[in-house]
Amino acid sequence: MTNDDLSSRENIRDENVRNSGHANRGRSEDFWAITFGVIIVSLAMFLTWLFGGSTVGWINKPGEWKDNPLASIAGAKANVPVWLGTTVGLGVIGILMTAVFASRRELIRGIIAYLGIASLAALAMVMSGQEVLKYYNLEYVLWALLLGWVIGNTVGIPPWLRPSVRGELFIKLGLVLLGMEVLMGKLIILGLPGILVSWVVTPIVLITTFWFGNKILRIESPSLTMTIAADMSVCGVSAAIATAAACKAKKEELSLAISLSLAFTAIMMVVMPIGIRIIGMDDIVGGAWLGGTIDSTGAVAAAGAALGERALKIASTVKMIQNVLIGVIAFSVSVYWAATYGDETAESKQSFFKEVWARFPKFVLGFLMVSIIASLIDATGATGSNLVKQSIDSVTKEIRNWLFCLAFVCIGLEMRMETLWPAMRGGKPMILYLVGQSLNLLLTGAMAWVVFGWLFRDTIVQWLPT
Amino acid sequence: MAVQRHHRAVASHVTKQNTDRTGYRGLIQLFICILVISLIWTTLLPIMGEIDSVKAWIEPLRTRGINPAGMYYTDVYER
Repeated sequence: MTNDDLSSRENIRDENVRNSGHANRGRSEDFWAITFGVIIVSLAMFLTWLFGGSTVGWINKPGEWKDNPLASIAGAKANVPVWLGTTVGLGVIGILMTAVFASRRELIRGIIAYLGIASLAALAMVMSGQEVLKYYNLEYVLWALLLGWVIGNTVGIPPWLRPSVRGELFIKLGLVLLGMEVLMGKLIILGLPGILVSWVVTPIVLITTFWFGNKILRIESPSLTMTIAADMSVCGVSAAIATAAACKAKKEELSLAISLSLAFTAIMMVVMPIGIRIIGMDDIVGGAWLGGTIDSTGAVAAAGAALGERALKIASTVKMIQNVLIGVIAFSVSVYWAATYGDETAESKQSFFKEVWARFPKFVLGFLMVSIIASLIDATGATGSNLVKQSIDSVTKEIRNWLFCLAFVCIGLEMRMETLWPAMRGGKPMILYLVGQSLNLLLTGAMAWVVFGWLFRDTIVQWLPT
Repeated sequence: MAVQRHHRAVASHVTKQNTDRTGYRGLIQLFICILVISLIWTTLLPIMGEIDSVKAWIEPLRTRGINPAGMYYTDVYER
């Protein structure tokens, strides 16, 4: 074997090690994500069991404001000042991160860096609280990206900030916590009609869009195609984050998919209810159509509310069922990716399953484990359901939001426009989104009309009289 | 050997000069970005919030406690 061969094999191995998350000294990011996720979920349940509803407000984020940004941290939630809840939220993540910094022997540098990143995340949250942006669905992820991108592309990432630029770890931990909110029991709320609209059309649109992007548009990066297909067909930003992590998309690809989704969501949220009224579509079918097509969950509720109370309930419930699909999609994509697009190396000629396992993003298992445990507790009855709901509302949901905010600050810092241009060549991602969304509108509209307007109409009218 | 050392010193000097220039330009760019962001958030957006059609969109949602920026179904209703 020549020196060149050896050097090439070394490079490939280094690349594989980096991809599997072991590049840094100490434990892998998947290990930290699962461990921290389990700690946070256990603590959330224990504290909620101990203190009940009084845990509300302990962890919080800056609120809404109109013309004075300071108003966002001035209020209180359940008698706990917002600034305190914000500090606790970021503090909990900071305390957990000290274990990562300590394992890398950069405790002090790591803590200082985390304070910097956390301050930027807090600023992004304050920016997202401005009422116009908030009510037009322009989420904090966009502003976290913007802040990071501005710094990263003007003065560059300051060296003192680098130890805490751990976007992937924040995303993986946030996704493990999101598992707590993926409750299988939510599926039966709207029963068969909701499942038919959300679970039959969504995978068809996802797979067709992915195929269209790869085979017809010939977009160079399959991970970009998959991320756009998932955020457009499932539930916007959260699906994009989960799928991008499952198919190891580049941060620029995730940012592009999210920006496309947020831009079109803001338009669809306002235009679709008007269109439904103009064509005289019934509010039951209209609600189901909104729920199955508008990407972002909050925007679905806003559009549904514009149509009326019954449309709001149907739209939100269809979307909720679609939200639960995120677990199945993330798992399926990670298995498919591990089997299809993993790194081929001379050393890894082992059995198919061993190969898939070696390439599989392990944090997805933490996500599924948390989801199954929370679903089981939720199904035990009113007490269990209440415990899960309160733990989500007062602890895990808020920490998950902070983690995604921190992640997008880091992604923005590391994002370089020059790496994004090749992916955007010819406007292909935009064409992909438009074609996929048109198919989504068509299929979901047809299914909503058949299921909500015809097959189950009487049942729904009984359940939700005007 | 001496020539190599000289080349390395020249390269280092040039890199330092470039870095200083980029750093200076970067600081100005950062300052301009901060200024633009501050103006948008503290002046433009509050003015947009006063437009009647925007108010008509915001008010009913606020009354119902709906958060259109909710990422997941657990984020949608504010209590």
